[in-house]
Amino acid sequence: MEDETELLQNIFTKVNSDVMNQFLHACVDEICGRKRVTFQQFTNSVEWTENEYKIARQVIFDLLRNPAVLYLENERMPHRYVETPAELQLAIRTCVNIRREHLVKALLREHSIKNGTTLLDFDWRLKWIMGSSKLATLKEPLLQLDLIIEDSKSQQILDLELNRDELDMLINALEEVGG
Amino acid sequence: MKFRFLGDADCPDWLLAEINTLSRMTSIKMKVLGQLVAKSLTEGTLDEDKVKKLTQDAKLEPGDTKAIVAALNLILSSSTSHAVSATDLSSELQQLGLPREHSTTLARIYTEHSPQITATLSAQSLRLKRLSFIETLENEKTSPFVKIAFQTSDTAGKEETNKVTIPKESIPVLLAELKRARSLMEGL
Amino acid sequence: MEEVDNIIIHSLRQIGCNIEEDVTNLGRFNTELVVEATVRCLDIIRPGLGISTIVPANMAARFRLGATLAQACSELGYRGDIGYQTFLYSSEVDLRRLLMFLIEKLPKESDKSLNEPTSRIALLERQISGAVSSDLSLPWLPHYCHKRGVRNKGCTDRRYRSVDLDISTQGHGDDFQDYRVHYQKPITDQVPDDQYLVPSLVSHNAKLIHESATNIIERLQWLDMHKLSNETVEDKVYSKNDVQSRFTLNQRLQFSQYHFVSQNTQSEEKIPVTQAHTETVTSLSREERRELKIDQVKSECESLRSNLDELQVNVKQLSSKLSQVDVTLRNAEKEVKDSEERRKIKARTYDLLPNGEENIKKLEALVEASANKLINLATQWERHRRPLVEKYRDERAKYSTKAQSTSRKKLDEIKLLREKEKELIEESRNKDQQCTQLLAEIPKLPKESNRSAYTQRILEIINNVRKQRCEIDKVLADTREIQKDINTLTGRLERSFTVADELIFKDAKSNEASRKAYKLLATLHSDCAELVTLVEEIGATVREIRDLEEQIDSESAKNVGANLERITADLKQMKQETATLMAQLQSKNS
Repeated sequence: MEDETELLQNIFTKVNSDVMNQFLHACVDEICGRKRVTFQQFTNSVEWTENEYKIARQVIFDLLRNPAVLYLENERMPHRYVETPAELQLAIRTCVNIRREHLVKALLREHSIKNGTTLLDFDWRLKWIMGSSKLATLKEPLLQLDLIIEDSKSQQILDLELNRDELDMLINALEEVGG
Repeated sequence: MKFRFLGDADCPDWLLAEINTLSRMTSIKMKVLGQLVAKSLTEGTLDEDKVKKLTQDAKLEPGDTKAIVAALNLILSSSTSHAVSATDLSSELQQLGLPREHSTTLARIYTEHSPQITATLSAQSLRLKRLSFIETLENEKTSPFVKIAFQTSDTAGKEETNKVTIPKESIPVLLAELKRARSLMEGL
Repeated sequence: MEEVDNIIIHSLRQIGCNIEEDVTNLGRFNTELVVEATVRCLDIIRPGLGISTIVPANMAARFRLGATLAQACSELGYRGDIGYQTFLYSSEVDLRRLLMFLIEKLPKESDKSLNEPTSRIALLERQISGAVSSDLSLPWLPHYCHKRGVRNKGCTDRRYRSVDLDISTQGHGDDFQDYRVHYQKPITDQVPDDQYLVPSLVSHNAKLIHESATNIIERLQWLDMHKLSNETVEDKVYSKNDVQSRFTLNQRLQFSQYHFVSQNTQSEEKIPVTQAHTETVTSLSREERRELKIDQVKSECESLRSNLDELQVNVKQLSSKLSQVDVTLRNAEKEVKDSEERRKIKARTYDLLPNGEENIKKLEALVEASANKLINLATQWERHRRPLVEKYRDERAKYSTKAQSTSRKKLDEIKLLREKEKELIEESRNKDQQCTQLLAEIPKLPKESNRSAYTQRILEIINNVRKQRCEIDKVLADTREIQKDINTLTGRLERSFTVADELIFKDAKSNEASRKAYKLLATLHSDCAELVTLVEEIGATVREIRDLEEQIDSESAKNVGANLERITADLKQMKQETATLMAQLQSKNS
């Protein structure tokens, strides 16, 4: 344990606050599903070895992904947070304070995807059906609703073609849930 | 020659031949048979016993029976599909050599049944995925998610259920967009 | 030709030409009628040409009108010789050919376009049909060749992929300011790919507008609760990041401890299951014991079940008893009530018994008072009733008169309707009769008389033509034979002449008479040759005469004389018009 704290001290004292903030926000961005943080981004500004970088990254990730940290209350903070240097604690606090909404959203989404198929976003197109092989003139509007969903394996599209009645059914169901 | 009830196309030869056999039946028998076929178009099943009885009375071969049923089926479904008026249908059938009485009875059957046939045909028209049922599975007050099951049926009629977790906060977004799409649909 | 003219005139009348009844052939068409007919036809074939049907009086304008009509006709594809003279100085044959062409070009009724669509859908469908028909006229291309074609109009082939964008403007204070200035990335860097940018922006915008705010702490608590029970999955994630260092190993160890503790507190139900699991694995004898136990429990169960059955039977019996008792109880209660009432009355009478006289008097007074009251009430009632009754009577009288009048009206109506019905019945009977008559007439009528007559006539004409051709062939054969005869005869003549010539020429040297004869022969020969050529020339001239006569006939058919007169008259008129115009010009100039 002693070694560890020392190690952490060692790693994080090398960094000035500006770069630390950069690093933290980059980590948050990755958690939110944007670009990955890479070692190359920080090779110029910090004298980390690749191993040190990996450890630093791991520690920050653990902290940011821990819901307990997000409460921003001292009593709830995990050991790991308490063990880190004071400057880092402060940096994490400010970072989390700013990005709390994003982090919570990202963590919730991640959790939900792990547990089942989750809606990420959706897209719709309105189509006008002129006729079919069965009926020469149909003249009916159809709504193609693409639900972009993701489960633990892959991202897919659940595509629905709704006519007026089916769309009403969907709207009613959602209103029941939302209302 | 082009016929409106066949979608402005020429009459296929087999139909011409079957019209000849149809005209050998009495118009009353043809009327009953036509009603049976119309019913089969809407309900999906043909009452074969009745058809057999009818055609045996008219002394028709089983092959001819099948052909006649197919011809009536084509006439009714194709006219409905191209939304011909009954008078047009009757006169075009007469042009094809069906006796006047037969043509008018067939046109009457057509006017009687075409709304239902239209409905079934539009229901049979190609759709990628229909939403047949929707159900809220989990909706806890404290949870930021709801779980909704979408039961869909594809073109082949295969049923499929997808359970989707939806963040509660995005439900208003989805609702607003769907309502906008709905109003667009009405505005067309 | 008369039938053709009839058809032409009939169809011209149908399109609205004002042709008088007595005009039965095209020969009687005057210039005005010709122009009107042509203009109307052109108007229908090609709407929007905008030519007046009225022939102007001015000669120059007339000429121009004729020229434009001729041009329009030739633009429609008329092949014949056409010019202003066709309309202004018409000949019957040319006019017939032109009008036949125009009437053939008239659109059929089914081709007539319906009234202009106004709704959005109708416009859209018109556009679609236009696009499809224009596409059908294009040569075929494989689908990947027209990326920009109709197929891809109005929709993208890009998928709708989005990420959450961070463009928040909420939050105040230096920290937020600092973040936005230094660390927030531009949105182009926030998306992994250009394709994500627009969808992400769209989604973000929609979220900003519609998303409902939720309590962040609540969500956090929920997440906290659910995450702990799911930590196992997370462990797997950690093991994927194969960071091999002491530190991570330590950390993992610590983490799993923490995890274990949390599991102990969180899900107690899991523990017995795992215990049971370990037990089964460790000892088999215990399993046997357990089976025994199970048997015991089973037998216990049986006994309990039988007990339960008995108890249920008991319950049933008791409940039926209960209902019986209930019924008896209710009866008893009723009896109690009755007797109580009786008791009350009796008690009252007993109370009144001691001073009977007084009480009787009191009662009598009471009775009297109530009688008085009753009378009072009756008078009052009468007072109220009388006006009401009167009113009622009035109303009834009024109503009855009204009803009578309305009923009378209705009766009248009914009568009228009856009469009408009778009339209609009569009419329908008449119609039926007519129908039967007509039906009877139908079989008598010659079927498709017109067509068969036409076909017969056509066949006759064909026969005639065939006969005529035979005759012509015969004549041709005759002439050919005659020609042959003539040839042989001339040949023979030639030969005999040369023989005679030689014979006489031999004798001519010695004999005077024969010399003379030779000379005569020569003159005879040349004279005969002259005669033959003369005969030939006569034939040629006769043929020429015949040609000329034909020409004269055809020219006279074109009524050149009348036309010429009209032309000269028109020319004179034109000259006059020019002269007046010149005079006007001069007067203006001076």
